Amino acid sequence: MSDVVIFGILWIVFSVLGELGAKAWVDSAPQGSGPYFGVASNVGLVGVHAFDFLVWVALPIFVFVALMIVFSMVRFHVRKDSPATGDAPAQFRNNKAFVGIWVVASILINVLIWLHPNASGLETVFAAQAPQNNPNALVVDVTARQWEWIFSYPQYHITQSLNAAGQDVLYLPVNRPVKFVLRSYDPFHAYDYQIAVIHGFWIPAFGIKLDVVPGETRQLYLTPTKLTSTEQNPMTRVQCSEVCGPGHPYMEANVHVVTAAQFAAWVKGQQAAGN
Amino acid sequence: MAQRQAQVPSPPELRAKARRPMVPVFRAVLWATIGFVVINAMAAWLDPSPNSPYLPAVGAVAGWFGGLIGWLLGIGGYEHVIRPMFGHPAPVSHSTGWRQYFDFSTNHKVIGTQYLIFSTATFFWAGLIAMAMRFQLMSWRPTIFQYPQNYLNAVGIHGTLMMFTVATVAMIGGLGNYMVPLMIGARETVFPKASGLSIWLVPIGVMTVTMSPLLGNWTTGWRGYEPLAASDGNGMLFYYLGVFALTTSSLIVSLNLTTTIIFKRTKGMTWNRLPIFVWGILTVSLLNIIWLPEIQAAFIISLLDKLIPFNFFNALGQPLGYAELFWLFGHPEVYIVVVPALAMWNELLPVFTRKSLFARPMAVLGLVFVMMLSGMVWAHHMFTNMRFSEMLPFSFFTEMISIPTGFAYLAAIGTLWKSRLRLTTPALLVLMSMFNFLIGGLTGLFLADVPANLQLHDTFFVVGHFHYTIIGGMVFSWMAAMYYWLPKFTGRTYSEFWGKLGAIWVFITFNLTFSNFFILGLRGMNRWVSSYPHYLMSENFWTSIYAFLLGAGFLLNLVHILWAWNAGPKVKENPWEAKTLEWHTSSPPPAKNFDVLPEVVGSFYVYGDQVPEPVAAASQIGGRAPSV
Amino acid sequence: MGIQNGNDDPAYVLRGVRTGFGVFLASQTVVFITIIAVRFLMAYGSVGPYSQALGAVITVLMVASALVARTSRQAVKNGDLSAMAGRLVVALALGAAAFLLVLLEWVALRQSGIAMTTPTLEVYFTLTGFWLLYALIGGFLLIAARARGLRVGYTAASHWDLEAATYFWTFVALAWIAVYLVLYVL
Repeated sequence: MSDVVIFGILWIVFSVLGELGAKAWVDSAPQGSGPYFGVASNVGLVGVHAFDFLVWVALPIFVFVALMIVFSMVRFHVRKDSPATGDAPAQFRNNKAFVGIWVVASILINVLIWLHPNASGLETVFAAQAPQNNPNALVVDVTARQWEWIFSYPQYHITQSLNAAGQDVLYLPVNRPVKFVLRSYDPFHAYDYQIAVIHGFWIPAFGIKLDVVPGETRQLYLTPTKLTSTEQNPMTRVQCSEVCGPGHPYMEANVHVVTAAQFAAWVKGQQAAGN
Repeated sequence: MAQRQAQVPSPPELRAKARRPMVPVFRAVLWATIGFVVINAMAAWLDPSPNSPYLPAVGAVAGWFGGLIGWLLGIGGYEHVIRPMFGHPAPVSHSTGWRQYFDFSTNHKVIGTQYLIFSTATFFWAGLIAMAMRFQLMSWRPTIFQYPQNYLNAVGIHGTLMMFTVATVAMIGGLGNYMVPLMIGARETVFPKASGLSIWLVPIGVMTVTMSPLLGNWTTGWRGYEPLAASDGNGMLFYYLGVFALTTSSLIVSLNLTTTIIFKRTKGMTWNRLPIFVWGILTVSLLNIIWLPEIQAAFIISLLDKLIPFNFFNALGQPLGYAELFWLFGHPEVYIVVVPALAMWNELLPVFTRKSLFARPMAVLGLVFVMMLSGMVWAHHMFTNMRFSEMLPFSFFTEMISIPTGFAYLAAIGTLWKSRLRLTTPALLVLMSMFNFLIGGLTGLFLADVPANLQLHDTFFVVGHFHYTIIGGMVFSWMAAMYYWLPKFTGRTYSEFWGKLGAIWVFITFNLTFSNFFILGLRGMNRWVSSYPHYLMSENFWTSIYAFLLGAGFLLNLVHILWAWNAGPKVKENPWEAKTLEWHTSSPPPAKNFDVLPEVVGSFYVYGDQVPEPVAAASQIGGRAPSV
Repeated sequence: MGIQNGNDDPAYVLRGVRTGFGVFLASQTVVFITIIAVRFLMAYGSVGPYSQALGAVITVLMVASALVARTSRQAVKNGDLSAMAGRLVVALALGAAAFLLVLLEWVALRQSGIAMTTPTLEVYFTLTGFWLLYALIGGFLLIAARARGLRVGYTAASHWDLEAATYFWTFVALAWIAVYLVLYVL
């Protein structure tokens, strides 16, 4: 019995210590977004909260098994100077209580984490993707080609938004829903259907990505929640996440999340520049 | 076909055949070259195109098949398979000594050793490529890979070789071929000739994948995603063909071992007494038999897509169709990798804890249920591009598969509890493998969660996750098995000091390297990049340093095992006092494995002072079967 | 499954070999299932502009060929090796006719001016192309089994090579029937 008690105490102690460490990690960025190094969008928050919850759940499991391995090595191993070479004195081949608890617990844990944070989080994500929940959304047409992100703002008649250096750039007003319309084709060689490949539209700071598939048009709604930019935080960048050929590492674009007033000024500038 | 040789005695002819004009490997190379050149020329003649290079795409593919056939005939397929099929007598003599490893063989132990040699060599070759990749990643801008396509080629070759030549081969084609007949008390396998040929598909596959950049860069990584593959360089073709050769090899291994396990068990070896490792091999063999033909068909379709070109998987067809077909195989593939490892834990733990295997039926059921569920989870690799309605069922099955996987832990932990653990190198490696795979499995929880997956997918978090499962789970178990069976292979043993040092070194550097991958992924490091934003550089730099140390650690283990294989201290017949049948014959085993076939009368996994020996032959012939 | 001590009894060994070969053939059905799945993914249920009559003729030829090939086993059991050889020649001839008719359809489709990359034709060429490959291997096995029978002599107890070749040939015929149903009928 004593082994069980010692193990139980150690398990609880290390689990509590681990959870305290996990809490520090989770809280190392606002809104519990520590593991993601901060999150700047509404849907990203769903993901990071799921991540946080799984950290809480996984930690005691990790401690249980890892501690069991270490505990066995310390407590049950035969010392070199021990004369005994025979079999272990305790020879049990089953323990209905242990097996039963294990099976029931593993099924319960899996069903629970499937329901929450998975299904519950998905519910939030799905709701966030419904057009009626995104009134007055800013439409950004995103075209992925080998190898460039092209952003156009049809509501503002901006065909291809460029910065002063002539590079594609994504400007978004903070706290206004955005509807990204994602397509993969090469508008400069539109006749060549064979060069369109799968890309991945990913802004790490927003905590979500969606593949851009040739021949399909996909939509992604999200709301940026923080004023930020690639210069301030390099995770705020559009990055192709799905391998798309030699240019894949360089398929990035800068992102600026700005106030409504700054966005309006930027739109005027783009229109004036004839973009 | 032609499993039984013709019964026509013609000794003079046989003797004439026994003296081959050339060493088989050299003849095979020559015939393969002839096959390649001739068929390539024919293809160029039938399908001429202006300004075509000497090696056009069609010629390369057709020529490759010519080369493949020439190679297999040259290595021994001509005398041993094709001529007997037409009723000519097969040569009875085989090479002996070291030469037999460079020849066609029907001895499952020679074949298993050949698989182990090729797997190990490929592990270090593909590992060296990984070292080059890590060297590149020490800097945020190009260093040794001047162009991203070169780097992506390296990624693809590393992944393809590691998956199809090491992860799914070392423990099945290698240890499975060598050990399964011994463990079930058989003298040979059911299809020795097919098995003897199948091993020689491995070097062809490895060479094909390695040489693929000569035909043109391919940048897709080991998954060969369409439609990128179709617009990539012609090296893609050799990726398909190399994988075709390697998967055919694994398919033959699986057919052979499945049939052998069903039909060649010795007396008393009931399904209930079948060793856990053999159960593991049986379940993965069934996975191979179902899914390898699937991926072969998908790859041939992709090859046509590129060669003709058809429009199956590009914007005019179904770009995601390929991804579905690939992962339909690709996810069972990872269980093909890890199930033998899970089985290995529970094979070794009772031996080293001197304690009965805990909940043996659960351990076996776990393997079987993993096998059955593995075909229902593939689309969790596609959360970022699937319909919303598909997310819930696939995340459900993905979570559920952790339940039977956990049964391996249940059995292992129950066995460890209150045991008399002998902390030898194999036992230590099993415990390390359990620890590593635990991290691999728990990070899988995060990836199975769709909202979190939408951020983690395609980042280094995923790379860390699957290296934890494959290196941490399979490679560590493979090493444990190598140290465990070393006395069986050679009658020699290793140095406990160097074995433990090697294990601890690899364990620490492995964890340092790949735990960093998780953090890198969370910080926004995406996959398949040779260059990355500057803020990730210092962490990548240190990850690379740890990776180099990890590579050195594997090299240390290799040198140690090779030394022990050739010059290690001699050891008694059954140094671990293990109970399974492979220890009931001499080490190394004689050509026909057992002089007297053992009879099984009890479980191999019951320990205790009063428990009788599970093998009857021992009492009948006074101790162990005499060695030859 | 009986477990034999010594397990060298020829009938038992043969059962193992036969089962293994059956598992191999079963695994090869996966190849066809995969391509058929791709067919429905790409071309849905559409039937392409290939000749229905030709398809029916090929099907009849293949069914006949497989049935004739199977009777060669009966000939061996009756101890009549020349009948075995003769029937295999008939089976091969019927199979070769079916093979050539598929090629004829290929040529006809190429001459018709319809783009090869039409979805229905893509799947037609792919699926029948795979079948041609299997038919080629099956034909080789039949030729080898016939040559072996004439050289070594099969007996009622020992004619596994012939058995395997005819099993494979039956598989080829069944594969064609599946191809026919999928491409021409459904």
